[in-house]
Amino acid sequence: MSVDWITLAGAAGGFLSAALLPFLSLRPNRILEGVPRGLLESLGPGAGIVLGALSAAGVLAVLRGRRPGLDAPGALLSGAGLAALLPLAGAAAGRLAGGSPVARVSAGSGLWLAAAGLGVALFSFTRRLPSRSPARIASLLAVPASAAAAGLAGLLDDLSLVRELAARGSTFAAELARHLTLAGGSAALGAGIGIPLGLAMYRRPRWRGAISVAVSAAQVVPTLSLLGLLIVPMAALGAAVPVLGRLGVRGVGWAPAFTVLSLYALLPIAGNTFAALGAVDPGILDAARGMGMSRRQVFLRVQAPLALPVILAGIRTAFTANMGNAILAALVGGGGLGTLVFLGLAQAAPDLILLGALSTAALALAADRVLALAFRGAVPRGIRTEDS
Amino acid sequence: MIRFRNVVKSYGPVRAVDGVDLGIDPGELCVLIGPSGCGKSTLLRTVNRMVEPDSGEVFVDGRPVRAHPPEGLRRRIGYVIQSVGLFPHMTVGDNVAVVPRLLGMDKTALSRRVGEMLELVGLAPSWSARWPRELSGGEAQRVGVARALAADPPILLMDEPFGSVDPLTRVRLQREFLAIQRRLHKTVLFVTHDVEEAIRLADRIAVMRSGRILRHAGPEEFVASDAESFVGEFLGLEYGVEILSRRSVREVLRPVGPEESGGEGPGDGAPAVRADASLKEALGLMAARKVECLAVHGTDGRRIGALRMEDVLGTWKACP
Repeated sequence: MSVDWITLAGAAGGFLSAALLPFLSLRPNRILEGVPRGLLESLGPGAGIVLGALSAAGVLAVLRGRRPGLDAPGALLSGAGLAALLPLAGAAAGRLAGGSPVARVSAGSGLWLAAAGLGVALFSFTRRLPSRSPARIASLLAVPASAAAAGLAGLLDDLSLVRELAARGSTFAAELARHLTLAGGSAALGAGIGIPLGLAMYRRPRWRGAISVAVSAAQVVPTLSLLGLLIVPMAALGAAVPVLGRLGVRGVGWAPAFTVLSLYALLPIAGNTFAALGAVDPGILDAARGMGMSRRQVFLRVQAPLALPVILAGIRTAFTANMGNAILAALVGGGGLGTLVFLGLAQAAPDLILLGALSTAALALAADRVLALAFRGAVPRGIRTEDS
Repeated sequence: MIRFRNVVKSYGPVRAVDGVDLGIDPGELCVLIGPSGCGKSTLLRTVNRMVEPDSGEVFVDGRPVRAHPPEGLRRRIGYVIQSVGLFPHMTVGDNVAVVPRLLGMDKTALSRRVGEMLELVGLAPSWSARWPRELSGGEAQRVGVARALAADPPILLMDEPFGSVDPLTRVRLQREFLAIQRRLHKTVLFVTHDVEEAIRLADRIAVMRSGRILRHAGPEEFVASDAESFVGEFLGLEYGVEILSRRSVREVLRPVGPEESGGEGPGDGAPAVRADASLKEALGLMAARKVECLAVHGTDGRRIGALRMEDVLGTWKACP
């Protein structure tokens, strides 16, 4: 076996970036130009921890091919390094800001790339560990645990990102809830329509082409144009049906965003439903019919349970994609985390953009894991696969 | 028990079944044999209405199958197919219980029944908690047979049931199935393209080609006179040897008491064959060792008799 080049590249890139690029950036206030600060300047002796973790990860990446059993120490080291990064940066931000309430300290390219390098190492070391090994669990939990602890201890308060969050605490929570509702609700509606559509495609070959074209059409129109296209019809709908109008169906607002997201959810859900039903072994269906099950029983007791994992995977895809796409809802006044992003763009406040983008990404990843776990329980044990 | 009267089924221009008349008596195992595409599977599937004939009539127990709703009919007819078709999302036990459950059997009777069925096909009742994906091909097919028999149907339809397992397993499954059939006396319609399988299992063999039944007779009745026809060609010249697999050494051996051996029996150095071996195996051993006389051993390994080549082959005509 040879050197693990990917991990080595990540660790080396992280090491060089941390050492040479600006680690933090200090601005006297929110909109002034930032002054870069290097690693040593920012962290002092703490710099040793960051560089040490990165170089250890690099050495282990070179050795792991020849020496098995290095995955666990590699995972723990890179996890610890990554976990240390945030509190170290937070403490440094406090020192750099020097008590000024308007000064802003944000992460520089060096910090980001060091985190990315450690992240690559953490991922590649944990990937080879068995899923329930203590080293894997500990190293993966170290990062969120240390972030939460540092946050609660107030260590991060002087980081610009946290100041942005603190300035909008209640709005942030509301937009987050709104974002979840938009993405989750539209995925649920997409499932409610997409599953019957997929079923119709499977059952009625003559409708297949039309449904497939319609569902794909919704997907190929760019999201933004679809939002624009919907303004007139949605406004007309809200005006024509007073009940809907009172519920907030207008040319702008949550209604067009919700509609667009639901349309986007249709393709993965309808497509997966159709494919899943067609992929059930014909021999199994023949046996079910031959033993005297009615059409309904064949479908409910055999075909649907066997198609379930793939249908659920479609819902999961749609939900995760909607988590990201829901950013655009803010463009038409639909709310959600996009509000922070577009506000940040308007105010030229990069940390606010970052806050919106990072929390959206985290939310999408979390939603994917949660759905994966929830759906796993719904799949019958006999057809469960290890990695779903 | 099953009777086909002038059954015709076409797919487009192809007559898959072209006017079949055939009767299967209660308790009989009838093997439908023929090349691929001869219509044997289609014919089998008309019995449980998986295929509806264009014309003609299929009778089960004297009543036309059209008179029964398909689901009810199918629940009273066991069905085993080549791909097995076990439901992968159900345990082995739930698979076996499918038809009794459809018929409304209650829980306690059901679990007893599942245990009995698994034992019948040579699997421990504890297997009922396993999942189909944990089974080998042979085990899966045993479960398939148990599932087909679970509601105790008088009729069993088997469509190349042992076609997808390795040859050794196939022979074992055939032997076990024959033992089950000797106990249960089901009326069985069995489709295969394997001549050896037909010879081993059949009470009667129906040879099909292009949707028609060319010959329907007991395995012993197919003789050399057929050699020129399609039937003879399909069954092959080795049929005359294969047919020996239906009889065991025990049926023709010359009993020799231990004290009289050495008379006209084989000497101690003679190759030995077990009494429960088939005549085909005995002949094979003779051919391999170039001897015309074998010692016969009982299951305990003691010599119980002798076997000569003429006992295997019977009396022959002189060269014409």
